[in-house]
Amino acid sequence: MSSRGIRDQVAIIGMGCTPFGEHWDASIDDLTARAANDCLADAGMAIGDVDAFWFGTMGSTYSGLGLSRALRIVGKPVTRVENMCATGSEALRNACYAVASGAYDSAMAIGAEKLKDSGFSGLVTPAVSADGTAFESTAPAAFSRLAPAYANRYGVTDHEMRDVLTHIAWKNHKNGALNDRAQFRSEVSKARISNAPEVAGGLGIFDCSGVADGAAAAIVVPADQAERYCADPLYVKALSVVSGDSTGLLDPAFDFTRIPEVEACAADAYAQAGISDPRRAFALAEVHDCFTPTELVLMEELGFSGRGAGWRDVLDGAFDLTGDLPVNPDGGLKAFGHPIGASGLRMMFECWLQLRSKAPPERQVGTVADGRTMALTQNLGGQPGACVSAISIVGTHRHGSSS
Amino acid sequence: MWVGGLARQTAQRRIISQNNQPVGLYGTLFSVTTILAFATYRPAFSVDVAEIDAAAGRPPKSGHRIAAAHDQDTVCLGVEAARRVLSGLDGDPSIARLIFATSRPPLHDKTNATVIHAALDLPASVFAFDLLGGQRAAAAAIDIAVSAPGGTLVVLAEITIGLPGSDDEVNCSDGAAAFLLGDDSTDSAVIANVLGTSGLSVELLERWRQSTSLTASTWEERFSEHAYQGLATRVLCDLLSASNSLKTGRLHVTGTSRRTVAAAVRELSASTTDHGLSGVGSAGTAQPGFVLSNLLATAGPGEEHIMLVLADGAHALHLRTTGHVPAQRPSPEPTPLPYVKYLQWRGLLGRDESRRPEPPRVSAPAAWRASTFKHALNGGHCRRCDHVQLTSSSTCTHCATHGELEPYCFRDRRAVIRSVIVDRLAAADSPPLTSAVIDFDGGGRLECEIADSGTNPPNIGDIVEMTFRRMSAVGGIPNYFWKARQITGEEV
Repeated sequence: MSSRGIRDQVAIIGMGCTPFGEHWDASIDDLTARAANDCLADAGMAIGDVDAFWFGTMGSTYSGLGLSRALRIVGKPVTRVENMCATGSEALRNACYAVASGAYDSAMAIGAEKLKDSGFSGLVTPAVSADGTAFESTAPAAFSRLAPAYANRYGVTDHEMRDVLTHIAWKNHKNGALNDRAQFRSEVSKARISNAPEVAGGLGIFDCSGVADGAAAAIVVPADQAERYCADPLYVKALSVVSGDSTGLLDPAFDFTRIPEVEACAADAYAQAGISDPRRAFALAEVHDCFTPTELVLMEELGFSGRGAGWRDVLDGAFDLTGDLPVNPDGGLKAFGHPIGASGLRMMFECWLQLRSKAPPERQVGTVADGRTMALTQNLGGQPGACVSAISIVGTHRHGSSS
Repeated sequence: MWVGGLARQTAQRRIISQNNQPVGLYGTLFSVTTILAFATYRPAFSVDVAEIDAAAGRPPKSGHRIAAAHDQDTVCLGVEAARRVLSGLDGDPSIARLIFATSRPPLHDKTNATVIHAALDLPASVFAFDLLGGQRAAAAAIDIAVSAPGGTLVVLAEITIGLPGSDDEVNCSDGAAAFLLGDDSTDSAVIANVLGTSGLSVELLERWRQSTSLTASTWEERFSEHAYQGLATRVLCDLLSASNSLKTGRLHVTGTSRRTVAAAVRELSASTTDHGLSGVGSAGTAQPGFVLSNLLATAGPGEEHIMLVLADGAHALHLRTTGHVPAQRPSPEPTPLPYVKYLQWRGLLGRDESRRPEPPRVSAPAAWRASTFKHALNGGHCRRCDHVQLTSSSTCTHCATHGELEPYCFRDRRAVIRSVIVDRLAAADSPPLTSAVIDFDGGGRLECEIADSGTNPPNIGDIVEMTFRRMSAVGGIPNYFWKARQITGEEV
């Protein structure tokens, strides 16, 4: 496989992110306009200064018109992208590649989702014409398969596993309570998390991310142009997407303790970025905590913990805000909800704040002051056994540059 | 006990006394028609009659009402009975036609038997068709099977629905029965030889239901009793004069009306009736199938039996058993079903819908293309790498070779549960939905719904088998596919 990446060829020079939550008073067009305008203001640009747009939404609107209509973009290319829960990250990836190719001097990646207008509980997958044989697990049911499988494989007791999942939910809600863009801004006690009503397969309501509306955007330019716009840009180190062959639900060899698409995606991203020790490479990681067991397994797939050791690291607080590798310091999907097209860029927005020490002091990660300069975002769409993974890595330093 | 000599005299006397009346009798005699296999299927659930009585405000009686699951219609029940018939046979049976009889077909203007035909993966040359009309349709299906050349797979299925507290609700049941009849009397596996049939037709309003109505209406049973008087004797006399062979035998009477059946039993001094068969109420169209199966399962060699069906006339089937009785699959103990849930399942009581979208309507072209997977549960065996897989995809899950998969049937394979989830968020006709990932003996995996789990979901490691179910019915289209059900006790 040749995946050369575009390390340090493109930089983010501005971002915007709406608060996530139940925006009863805002349409999808309103949300995209708010994120885009905040992003433009951050970059000091006007809409006409942006050459091209990549617009990610799972199903809130269709085509490039969904954005060009909302922003009244005239005479510019707008490409709508969709890659399940990795949609926002996919929009960023395509915008970066377009700029790296030299086709454009600037591009906006924007992701948005308006979930609360459907009236449904949980996420809804757009229907396609089919033969009626597909078993469509709900997301909590599909991801709940991870916990007992992991516990069984690594000899973790039910009680210990409950504590691990509770810790993850507790941590992310605690982080989100410090973030004025989060959907849920209250800490939740471990007792309340552990005793919450069950949704599916042993997962309680606090093991599940919420349903929210939101939008986020980034503007990217060639790396060597970045400082014209921004004193402290973020350089794109790696962009990787892996789409699984979907055999996990067809092959008895798959045991639901792993998400191999993420492992492959991480290997590709780390190779692009020249990273060999991911646990110590990042100041923070924003990962796809759609459900608490997902975050646990991701710690191992991303190489932050050894196989079978992630649960212990979680309980030891390694991934807490004050841990040696803060994971989801903004509160994650747990506290933000998951407006699908927006989540990847929302994660990047946290990196944008944290790496540049622009996060509020009460949740600024100490790892940046310790000298770490890179951050990772990771998305996961689909379910264990059949999923899409996206990883983006950014940093404040450009390889081979004095800056 | 209805023993030949005396009964025959009685019958002859009866027919002599009615000689002046045109009765429209028809009779057939086919010494080479045989019953080669039979099976019944009872759905998994039962409602405590005392619960029904409590709701109706009357003193509680004992007993249970056998009920189909929320995801079963008569086609689903029929598939299960038919599968049991075919699984008990050695080699591929010779089947010329498949007849599906029910009073409650899931669809009109479209043949329902073709769904059963597809689920059984029968050759296209098998002519599948429906017969409608309660117990009369069952008698007709058997009559055609006896009369027509070649093998016939008869499938009788019924879901009986009565208004809350009604006689139909309390004293009926759901179920299916299936029979393979052939014209090869030399086969050592013959269970019974058909000696003859006879039938007559009478137009009367005894029991009826409009296609738009959930429940049936009946006329006063005393009227039926009167109208049927003498019919049983007439059809028997015709039968016996044609077959001329009854030496000693047993008569089994079933029919639309309990009172009429009881009267016929008195009239003929018959041995058994259908109602109360094994303590289970009448299963409508399937009831003659249960009566016939019961007699076949208990008969000895060289015995003669007549099954009499009193429905919109009368029909008699005369057969001699060989004593060969294939092992029948034991039925598991019924799972108690709360009465409220039963009413919801039958559409007699509403329930709060979940805030989830309904599944998409089935695409007819997509279902047609995937029929061998969707209906027959055929996956693929890769000629290139020998991997088996349960998917409609034409690309191997193991070696990714395209177009090298040959059909591989999973329908009758058992599997073990690798992961099981009770999902309280999922839209379900009877929440909560239980799903599982199951791994088949010999390879292959499927993520599917668990059927018949009641309030006790299975565990990892439990053994399951596949069962044909209606997943949904969006846009008026029943969406059939397979679910897994745990097998327990004697079934294992």
